[in-house]
Amino acid sequence: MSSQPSIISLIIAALFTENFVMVKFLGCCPFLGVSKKLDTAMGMGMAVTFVMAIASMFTWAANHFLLEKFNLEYLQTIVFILIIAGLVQFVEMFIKKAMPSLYNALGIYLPLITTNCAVLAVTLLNVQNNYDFIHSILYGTFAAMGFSLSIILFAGIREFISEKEVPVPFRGFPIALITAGLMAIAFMGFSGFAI
Amino acid sequence: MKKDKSIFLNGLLYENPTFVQLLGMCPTLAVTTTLKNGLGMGLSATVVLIMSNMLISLLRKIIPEKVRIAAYIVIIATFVTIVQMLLNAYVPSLYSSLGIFIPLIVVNCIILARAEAFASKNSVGKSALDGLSMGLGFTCALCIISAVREFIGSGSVWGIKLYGSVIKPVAIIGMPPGGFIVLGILIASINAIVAKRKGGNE
Amino acid sequence: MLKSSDRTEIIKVGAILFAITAVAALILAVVNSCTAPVIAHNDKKTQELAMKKVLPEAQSFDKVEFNPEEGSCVKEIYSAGDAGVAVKAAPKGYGGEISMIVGIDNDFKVTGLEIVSQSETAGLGANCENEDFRKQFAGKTSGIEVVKENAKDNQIDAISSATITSRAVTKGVNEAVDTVKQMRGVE
Repeated sequence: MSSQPSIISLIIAALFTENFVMVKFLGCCPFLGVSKKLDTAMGMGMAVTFVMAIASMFTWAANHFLLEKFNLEYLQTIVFILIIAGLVQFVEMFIKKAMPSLYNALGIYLPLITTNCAVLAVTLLNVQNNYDFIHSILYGTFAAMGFSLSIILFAGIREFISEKEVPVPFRGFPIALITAGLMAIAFMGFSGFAI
Repeated sequence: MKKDKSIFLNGLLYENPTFVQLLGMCPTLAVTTTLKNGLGMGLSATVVLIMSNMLISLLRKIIPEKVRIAAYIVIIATFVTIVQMLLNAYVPSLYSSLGIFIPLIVVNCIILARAEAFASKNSVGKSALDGLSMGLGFTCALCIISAVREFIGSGSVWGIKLYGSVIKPVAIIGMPPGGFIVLGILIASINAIVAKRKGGNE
Repeated sequence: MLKSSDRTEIIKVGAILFAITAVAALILAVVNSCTAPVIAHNDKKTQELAMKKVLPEAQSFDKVEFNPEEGSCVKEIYSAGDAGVAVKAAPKGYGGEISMIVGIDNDFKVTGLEIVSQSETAGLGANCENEDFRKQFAGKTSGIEVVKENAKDNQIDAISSATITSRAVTKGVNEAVDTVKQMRGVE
């Protein structure tokens, strides 16, 4: 078994130094797509965190007990994406029945999560980094929180920008991208920071 | 009936997946640090897009409505894994520099979007053409972005040093913030050109 | 209870999805069996090539068993007799692991450094593949320090704007030398 990083350094990396959106460019579609309003961004963040934590758990189990045992590592991508798609569907049904109020808040974002590359990426990175069960779940959860952090900050800035006069060609997407670029510069300040 | 030519131009220009539809942003931003990577990613995605479009179109009458997304994902993931294995075996340097973004082609929204919007409704030939045109549109966009970023960020194009001894390249353009900013400025420029054209016609 | 028509519908849908998945798995198994040997062969070849470059005089490389230290980035050690040893290390850089081969002679001096694979930022960290950077390590021994410029004795100049990568590569070299020293019982 290869060595595992300390839990604190893992959390700091997942949240800041290796932030999924700002540093690794994972989960850009929802980051740019559902960040026009602060409350939808929060909903998306929560839904993603939920799915990523559970997906990390299940894919770890599938990889450890099935794929590695039978030397089927090359099926990782296909198995993981099926697990994620299934989980998203299951989570959607479960929340609809058990927690209708949460479902009303998250409902429309849930199906979108299957194609959020951050989810598939975290499961693949868990394998690549040889994380054990606990580290996989922690990495999944905190990487998702890092995603939420950036999407919520970004939505706040975009709400502010939408009220401002922006040169016509830059309206909408371009100014959002440039804003994201400036945010990424801020996140670069964390790089090299390790405990 | 849509003419073949219009299908082809659609993906390349009018509905360019990157600049117009703003799909598949993750690889667009992440791998466009050098022209080689941008072209490699674009072509890999194009191959997957053509193959999955064809197969989905072929199976469109067999795949049950209820589980179509799951079926599409399985088909796409299969082709992606094949591309991944082939790259690893025959172009290992590209494989290592694209890294995790090769398996992530599975969740590239362009591919699933074309499967759902085009391949599930059209003939095999048209779907292949649509895949080719969307794929090339994506590839062109990636090449433009990556050429700009490589030129400004590391002072070279296709790995050939063009300058750098006198003027220092602006390294930040090659780093994550540069990806966002270059794409933002490129889209704004396209908006400005399109607006000017339209204004001229009126 | 489900109506029997519903039940056959579910079974049919499930069977089709299962069939697609099964065919997919089968195709992948075939492609994998074709490409896996090529991949393994390529990896071995690049590694051997890199080892030959860092220790040109070596006749053969024999894998040596060793006890890796906790947290060490040293992966494999190959003995090349009188020529020295080649160490495979994979320190963590800015964009993931940097896989490299360090050649070390029997006086624990670095003979050369080859980068096998890396995914550092193009134009910055990726410059660790450049000879200008790599050749600095030759002749040095463990305890190498990274400085911004004007490197002295056991120091190397960092790649400009890529301190993290430079430190990672240096860490790999230092740990490689230390591990070999430890293996030979020298402190």
